[in-house]
Amino acid sequence: MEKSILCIPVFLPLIIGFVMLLLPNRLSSLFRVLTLIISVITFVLGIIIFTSGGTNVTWSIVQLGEIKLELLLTATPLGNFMLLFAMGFGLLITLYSLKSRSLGDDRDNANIYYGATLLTIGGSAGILLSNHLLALLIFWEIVTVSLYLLISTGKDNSNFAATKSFAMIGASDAAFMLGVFLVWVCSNENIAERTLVISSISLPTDSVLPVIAFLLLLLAAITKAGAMPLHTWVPTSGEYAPASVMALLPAAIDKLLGIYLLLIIVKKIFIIETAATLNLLLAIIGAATIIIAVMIAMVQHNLKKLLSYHAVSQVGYMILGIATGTPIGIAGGIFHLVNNAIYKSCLFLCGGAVEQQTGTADLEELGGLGKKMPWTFATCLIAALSISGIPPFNGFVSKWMIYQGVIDMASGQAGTIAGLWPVWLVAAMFGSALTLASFVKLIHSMFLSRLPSGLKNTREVSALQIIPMAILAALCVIFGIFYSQVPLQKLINPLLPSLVGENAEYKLSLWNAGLATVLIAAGIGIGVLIWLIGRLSDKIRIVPTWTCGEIQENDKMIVPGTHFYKTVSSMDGLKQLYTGQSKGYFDIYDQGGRLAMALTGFLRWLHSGMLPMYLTWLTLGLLIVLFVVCGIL
Amino acid sequence: MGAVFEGKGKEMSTSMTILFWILVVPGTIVLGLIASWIVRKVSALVQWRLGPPLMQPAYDVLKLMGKEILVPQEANRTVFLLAPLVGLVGVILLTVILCSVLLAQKTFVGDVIVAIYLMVLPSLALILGGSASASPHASIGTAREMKLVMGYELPLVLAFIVVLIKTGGQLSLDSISQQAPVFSISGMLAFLVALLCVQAKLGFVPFDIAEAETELGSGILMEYSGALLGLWKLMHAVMLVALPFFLVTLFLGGYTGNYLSGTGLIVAIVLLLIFVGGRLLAGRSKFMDVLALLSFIGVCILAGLGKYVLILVLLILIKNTNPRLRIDQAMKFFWGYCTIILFAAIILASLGCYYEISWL
Repeated sequence: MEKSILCIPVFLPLIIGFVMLLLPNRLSSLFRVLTLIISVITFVLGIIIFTSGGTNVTWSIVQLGEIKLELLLTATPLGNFMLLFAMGFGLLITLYSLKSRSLGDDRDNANIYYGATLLTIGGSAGILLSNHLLALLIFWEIVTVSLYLLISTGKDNSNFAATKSFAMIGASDAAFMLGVFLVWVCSNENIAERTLVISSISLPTDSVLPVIAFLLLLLAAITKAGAMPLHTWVPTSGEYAPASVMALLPAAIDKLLGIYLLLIIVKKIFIIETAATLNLLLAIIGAATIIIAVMIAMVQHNLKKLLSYHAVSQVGYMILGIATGTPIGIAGGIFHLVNNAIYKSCLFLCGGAVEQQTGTADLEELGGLGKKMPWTFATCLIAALSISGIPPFNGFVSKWMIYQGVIDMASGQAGTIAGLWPVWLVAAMFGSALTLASFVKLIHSMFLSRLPSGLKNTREVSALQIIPMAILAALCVIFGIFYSQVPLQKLINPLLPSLVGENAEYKLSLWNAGLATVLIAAGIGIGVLIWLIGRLSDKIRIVPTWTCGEIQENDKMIVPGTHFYKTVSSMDGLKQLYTGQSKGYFDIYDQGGRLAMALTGFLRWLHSGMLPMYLTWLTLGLLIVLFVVCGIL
Repeated sequence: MGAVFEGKGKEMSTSMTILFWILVVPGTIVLGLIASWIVRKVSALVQWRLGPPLMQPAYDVLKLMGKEILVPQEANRTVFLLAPLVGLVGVILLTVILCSVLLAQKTFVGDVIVAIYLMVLPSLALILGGSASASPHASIGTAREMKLVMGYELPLVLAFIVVLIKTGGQLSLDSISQQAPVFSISGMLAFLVALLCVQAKLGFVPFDIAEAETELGSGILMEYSGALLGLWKLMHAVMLVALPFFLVTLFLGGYTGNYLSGTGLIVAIVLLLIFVGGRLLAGRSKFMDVLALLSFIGVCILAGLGKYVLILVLLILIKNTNPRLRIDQAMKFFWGYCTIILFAAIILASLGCYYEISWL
């Protein structure tokens, strides 16, 4: 029984999900029920594993020469913690999908959608529990493939987005594979004692080979998490994939997995405290990701694309927190990871709800929905304030901890990364203001402002969809107000010793969120009370909007938020960058595509089809070979 | 309020603590109303007018409280009605935090980062309220307010970093207020830029871009009337206390203690008498107005609020000597000149920290 507890959340969803992929699309109601049941089971098991602590399962599968493939499932504190959240998100988003995907037509792709969801759940459980790099790699691939399948269930162009995601993550997976091989090579000089068991590797990064291995694994981690410069798959899939897929993978589980891998390589497999350059690299990636992604997000017109760029930007905070190397920074990074998964999932679900009810994700065509969809508005507002770091919500607390991590690092360490602390602090704090700016734009264009005439009949989504959003929004509030009692003491502090060693104690500066919230709530309560008493005298009157006497149609009076930041995007210097970005100059995928096209063009030009030409090449080649051989001899 | 406590470092007795808690919220509101009267009065004197009587800001708010509230039909009512309350409560909380640091040397609720983030609340409330009022003018005001926030947030963070370097990475408001970074080149530069950021946060000319009465018809506040507008005015009045207090805490070394002992007390009473007498007897004489104002400022200085008055006067002078900027000019100003100056200040401060030269 003890052992099967670790195996069930991995293999039950994997097997059922795989079978589901093969079954016909007609059985969609069966798929829904089955997925719901399994995600409940895995979530419950996630809780049990988290509360009961560690057990081990070992299955020897194959042995190829010296490389043994063993299935080692180990419950580690970090893995358990992430597992709890991954399974939780699996459940919530399955709940949301029950209604949002019941389109009932053939394009529904129910078998692929639910099958791939289960594969994602199982695969991520496998990643978080396996203690063997090769097994981890296999589960990692399963999640990549299921991401491809899930994105392709979207609308029209989703195949393009799915291909791009698969190409980018697949390429990084290749790097991962190479990295794993190098880790195996470096793990011991004696071939017979080389190992891939995570808990028994600890490589110093003082020679070339481990550094290359580190960089390769880092590449895989940041691609999965969606950090710059390998982030471009996230916004592209954000545009075309269903919102629930974005909420499940790029917003939540991919972040958990990417940062999990990052933590493992930084804190367990490699010893990078001595290699200041690698730490500096991490901090640069983090800071650049925060600022650049949020600058791009600000000028987006598509709701889901805007959210996707924020999904990229927030990774920067986590990486920066981990790069500080201080206990409080790492705790803040992990806390931010969880918080980000919560509010970003919530935002994607809200965006999905709006898109489903109005049929568009273009911010220019939306507006005034706050009156029509009050629940979606309330949850979206809470999540938006959380991501913008407004106290007393959860996003503020984790950002606040990361700032303290940066400041602690400045006073506690020496070296370039500590000396450059103002840069990291500015990136993090100013990035937060820019995040607020783009969410003001989002909230204004979607829920406030004026209702376009075409959306007069919009209705609120069903309760099944509101419940997951409401749970996530409630978590934003709870994690923000009771940050010390609930998430930090119960969830994050216990796993710090396994990451930073004995000195896992940290001292938080002062933020009495409970008291502040009580004071704010009391103030607002008293205000509302006074207002209600004043209302008894009936001094409130509903009037048409004041238009200075002009008579104008409703739709002509809408000022959409999409043009809010034209001032920024047309500034000298920034303007050229924005133009270049929108043309894809900074997209590694696009540039890779251009390079490949140029290469094939050259080859095509070589293959002219004329015999004399080929003969000339042949003779030239033979001559060169002759010279080389003669030269050697 | 300054007279309640006796100088630096002393523990408050229980009765004083209770008195503090009872008086602090009404006290901040009263002080805010007086401050907004000073702003109007000094502006009037600069423009060679008489200006309003002392009670005018309070009369304005009371009058607005009694008027009916108009709500636009298309507005999101909940947000429209709650926004001014959220803004007011947020800024009062911030003021209470800063008062307890300045007057009682006690940190309470949050550190300096919390204070910086609480300062965003009034702007955010304004933005949400304006956006919820469904008016095109207010929407444009919303966009401008948000861009202004973006604009000054960068130099504000940089100025904060200068303070951090100067005070050795202290985050508690209490220990920051023990030091005065302004007595150094970098600290001075940071203080001046932060003063301009506060100017923008207050929405004073040259940064009254979001309200811009002559072009947007109060823009972001266009649809607000009655008690709700009164709340906004009140919020603005309390911000006139909170933001200068913030600058005092960060840059000027906090509360220095008052001189109300012996002769000081007699001088203060005489000044107060001149002030009140001048108000009552002088009618509308400009000379007595100036005298009354000066005596009031004198009392403030004697009560230990001199630094506060200094910042207030600086803000008013900037307000009255500049024309309104366009939003793109304002953003370029903050992201350009201010940022460059502060980068220089950070480098100077770091050098000063490294070579232990305190005046850099």
